[in-house]
Amino acid sequence: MTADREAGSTGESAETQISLFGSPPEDGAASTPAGRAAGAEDGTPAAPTWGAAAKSEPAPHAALEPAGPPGSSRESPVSVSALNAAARRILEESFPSLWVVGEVANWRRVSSGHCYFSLRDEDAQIACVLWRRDARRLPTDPEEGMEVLGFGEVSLYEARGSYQLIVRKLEARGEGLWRLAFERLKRKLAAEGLLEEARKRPLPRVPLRVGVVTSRTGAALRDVITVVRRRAPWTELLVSDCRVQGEEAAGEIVRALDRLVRDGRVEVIVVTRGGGSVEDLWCFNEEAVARAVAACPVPVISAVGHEIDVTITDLVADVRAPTPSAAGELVVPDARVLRADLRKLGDRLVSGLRQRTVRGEERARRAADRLLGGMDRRLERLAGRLEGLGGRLDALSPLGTLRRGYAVPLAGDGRVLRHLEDFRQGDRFRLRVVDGRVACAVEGTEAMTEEETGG
Amino acid sequence: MAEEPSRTSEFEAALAELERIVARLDREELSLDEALEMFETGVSHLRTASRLLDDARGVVEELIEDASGELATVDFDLPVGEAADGDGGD
Repeated sequence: MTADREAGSTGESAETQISLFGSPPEDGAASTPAGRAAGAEDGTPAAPTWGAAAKSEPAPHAALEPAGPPGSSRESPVSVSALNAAARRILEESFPSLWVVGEVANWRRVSSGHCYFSLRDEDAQIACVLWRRDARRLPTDPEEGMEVLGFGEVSLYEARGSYQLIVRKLEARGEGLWRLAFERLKRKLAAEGLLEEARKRPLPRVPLRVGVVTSRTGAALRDVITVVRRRAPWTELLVSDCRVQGEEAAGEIVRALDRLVRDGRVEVIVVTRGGGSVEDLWCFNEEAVARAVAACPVPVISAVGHEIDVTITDLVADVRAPTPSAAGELVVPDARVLRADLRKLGDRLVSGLRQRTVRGEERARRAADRLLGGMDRRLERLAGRLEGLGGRLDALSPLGTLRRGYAVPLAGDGRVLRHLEDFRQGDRFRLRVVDGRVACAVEGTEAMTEEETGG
Repeated sequence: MAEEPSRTSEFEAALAELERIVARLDREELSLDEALEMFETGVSHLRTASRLLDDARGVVEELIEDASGELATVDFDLPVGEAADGDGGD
């Protein structure tokens, strides 16, 4: 208000009253006793601070009306409306926007979306309103008795003559409200069974096409691309862009997921963003996002924030990765490991085949040993040199040996016929050749000399 | 579009078959004839798996949607300049 009011505080005076209903000066910084008691620390440096006008200067405003101001006598009463309007003006002009600490009482969110409640301490309370626009940004409604910080403007609701705080921002101490919202949604989803381990699907071992839901300009995407390209360069990545913070983010994340689902090509989806404040990451704690992830027909890896940040999306996803890079590591196998695994399978094919043929009946075993011995050594040499797969495996195969013109004579029961003594005139046997079997009969046998058999 | 997922399932199927064959060769009594045939099948699966990895293009694309809801796939170039700022934010 004005220096007049400051002066007026020293005693009852008509002048003070009069000024309330006159045109208030625009330049005057307000000062009230109540104002000095509180500290306004919010970042509104341009706002007038209390007490700034304490140094009295000649009042620059309109002169008092000598005839007597409204309300100064029975003949000139002020209306209730005028009084409340004036009181409201004084309140609004006297207080800068400020933070108030207190406990929440009687919280009501009405159908219009506005929230009404009180803030109180042991000795006092103030009615508060949080308009829908600001209430929308609350992660959740506070609990009764919760200690909160409200930031807003002091005002007066003229229709009722009630003094109130119009709250623009409401925060619990620390991350209280976020934590509360998190726990509430977590409980709700858990009650529906959406967080159960049994719901978690295995990731495809070797996905050839991977979807990524994140901001196309973010560092998280760069990390995922880098890691996937390094580990599994054959992998195709399909980016579905969305904002990953702010009020629009949750809706965009849901739509980005939906695009990948409708497209239907990817076998696994990474939902990711880099680190940020609780508020930045909040969209990943929104119910709509959690439900979209839970409903996704392909497995989802969630990598939101850093190691310590766990979001609802992380809990609903099939796999949680601590960072975007870690998601890249989880989603595709390492090329070297995969190719080594394939090579190992190739080796086991060879050794398995050898073992199968040498086990069993002693006679067959000995026979197979001698028959396959030379081939085995050749196979081992080749296996030692093996670098790749594919065509090279032909060289490992006994089929390769068959292909080169060798044949294996087999008795009716599958025994390998190795020795002269295994063949009697008239016996029927089969020859295994590269592409089939030949029915044979023994017409005659003839022993070879030591020299001929090569010792 | 539709053939793409089948390429992966083809890979996974080849790998699974290969593992099954190796396990059978390890465990079961087989005649040489059967063993040879299994080996042959295994090699063909191995070749399939290997080829699928070699054939994949490894590109990065972006899935976009026009106003009418039509999906389209376009080349995606990592916006190096922006990402390199590394704000870590998103």
